[in-house]
Amino acid sequence: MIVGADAADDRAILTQSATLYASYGLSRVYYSAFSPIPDASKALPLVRPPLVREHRLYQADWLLRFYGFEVGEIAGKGMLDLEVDPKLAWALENRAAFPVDVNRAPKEMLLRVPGFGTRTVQRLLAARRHRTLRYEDLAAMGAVMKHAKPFIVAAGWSPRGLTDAAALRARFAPPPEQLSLL
Amino acid sequence: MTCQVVLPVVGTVPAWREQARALARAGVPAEAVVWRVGDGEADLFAGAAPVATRSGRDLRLPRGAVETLETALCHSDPERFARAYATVLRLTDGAVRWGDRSDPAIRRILAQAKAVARDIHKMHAFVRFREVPSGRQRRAFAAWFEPDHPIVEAAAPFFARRFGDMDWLIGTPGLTARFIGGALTFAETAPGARPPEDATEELWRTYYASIFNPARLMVQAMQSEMPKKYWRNLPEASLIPSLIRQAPMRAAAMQAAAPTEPPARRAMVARAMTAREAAMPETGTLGAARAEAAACTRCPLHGPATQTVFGEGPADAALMLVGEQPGDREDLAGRPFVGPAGDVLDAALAEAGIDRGGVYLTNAVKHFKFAPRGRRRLHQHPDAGEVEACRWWLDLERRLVRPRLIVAMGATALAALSGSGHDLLRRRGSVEAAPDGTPVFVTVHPSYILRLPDEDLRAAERARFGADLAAAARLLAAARG
Repeated sequence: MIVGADAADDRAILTQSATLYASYGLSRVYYSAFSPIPDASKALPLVRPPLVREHRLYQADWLLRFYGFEVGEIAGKGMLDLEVDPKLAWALENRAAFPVDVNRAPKEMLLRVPGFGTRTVQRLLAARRHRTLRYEDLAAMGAVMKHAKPFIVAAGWSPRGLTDAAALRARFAPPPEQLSLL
Repeated sequence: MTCQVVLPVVGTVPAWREQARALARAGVPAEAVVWRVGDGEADLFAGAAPVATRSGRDLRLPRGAVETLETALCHSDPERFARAYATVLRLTDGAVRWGDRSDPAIRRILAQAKAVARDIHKMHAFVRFREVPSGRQRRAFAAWFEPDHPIVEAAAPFFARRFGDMDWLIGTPGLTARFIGGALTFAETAPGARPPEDATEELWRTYYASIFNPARLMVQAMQSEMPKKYWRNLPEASLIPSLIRQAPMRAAAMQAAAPTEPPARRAMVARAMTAREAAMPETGTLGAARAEAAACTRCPLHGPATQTVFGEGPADAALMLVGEQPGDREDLAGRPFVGPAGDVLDAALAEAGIDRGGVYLTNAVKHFKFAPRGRRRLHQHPDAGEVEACRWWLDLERRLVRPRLIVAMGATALAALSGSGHDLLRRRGSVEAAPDGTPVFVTVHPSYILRLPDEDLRAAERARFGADLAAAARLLAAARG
């Protein structure tokens, strides 16, 4: 799907993808940011949209296919957040569900932790049958601890006040830029 | 007391496998062995004799471990053989579980296997052959490549499969792979000149420059796919710096150029397409109603659903069965009651002695309402607004078919026919009246039976549903007679 050539917002694009996967059994949707070509039609914009938008759509598409999310959960506001990835944005808005105990939580909840990918969760579930998981083991399993730290509880780790901190989003979003007035 | 094991340069990994089996059987611990890759025959007991401090055993490994271990042995790390031998002993003893990432040795092996796999992939992508004169029937090619790890033996079979009808050689600083007359051999590389320049390379460079898109330049992404360490041996690499430099200017020139108008012919074709009218059957028949319903947009359900599932049956049917909405199978097939609920209904109709071809089957809502979940479509009950919007079609069907008895299956059908779907189980078996006076027999929907958890309860309900339909058939016969 070409993104950014018309006024369709991310929610419409992701709804279309969800319909294609469910109703038509499509195996994969590719998103491409519109890039202008020589001698294009007048109806098309001349400037290309930010490539980050294409990146966020791919992340959202993976959430729909592999992490059990719905379109309404990730694109509720219409457009995806460009500063943080959709999974982290969902976690920041739904902090009541966290922190999650990595030794006890079901698979669906582990998949929703930012920084835990599908392979990490598979390794986690295989390893916790044999022993209790500690914080140090999680990084070895491929989890991104910088993102996961505020949202999990493991043997030897508790996020304490971090989960509900007001400034939590600021830790992940890029620092605000001072634009020039000149 | 340590013993030294020397592995050959060609066929290192199979030789390691043999030595490891022999050492484990002899009971030599991992600390007592020093591994080396060098010339000469691999001599097991060179140096001091091995001291067996553990009982000899046969190596037993999980299936996935062997392949990963042997891939990791193609790494350039000099400690790889010792680490692999220690790990296979620990795996056999059960001291560590394969895939346990908290163990540093397993973690290192997995990381090395990944690095080797990436290197083999890059070798498959970036070897560039040049044609050399061949004295034989087959064409001959030569290439020079510099991999990070000694992967030539692992990567060469790909080229043998792909270029099976040519003679080629791939030279690397370590080993050279030769494929002459269909036979793949490996030998140490003798110092020599690189293959000469090739005329095809100029064509390749022209092609590469022409497919470059200046408006979509991402230098970092390109370098992560094609790292700079390979550029020395790639012919197109000399073009890359100038392409990157010119890209912003070319993109700006593209934006500054005015776009052209589409030809007038295109507007004419668009007008003709919208003005075209499909042949419609005469109004007032079921066929016309079906065609009109196919384009219905009264409620939003028409968007995601595949097609309208109109009613099916003879236009003079005396009995009309109304369900809730089409399911997943009905949505794809376009006919009502062809899925699991349809099978239950067919069985019950047969039991009651009613011919399915002689009744009119339809649904209160004509489109499939669902929520997409990954690859599946989860059925959702239509809400009151959608039932109200679709009631127009149901009333039209009733006017055209004029049944003498309508069977309402389920709460939604009952709501569409009588205004309210409450207390279905209490009203079950009774006869109510539709707004125009037609009798409506109330029963459950067949999918309710499928959703019951208990097997015995299901069988009982099936029998009861069949009895309901038989009662409806008796009522119809009594009214006729």
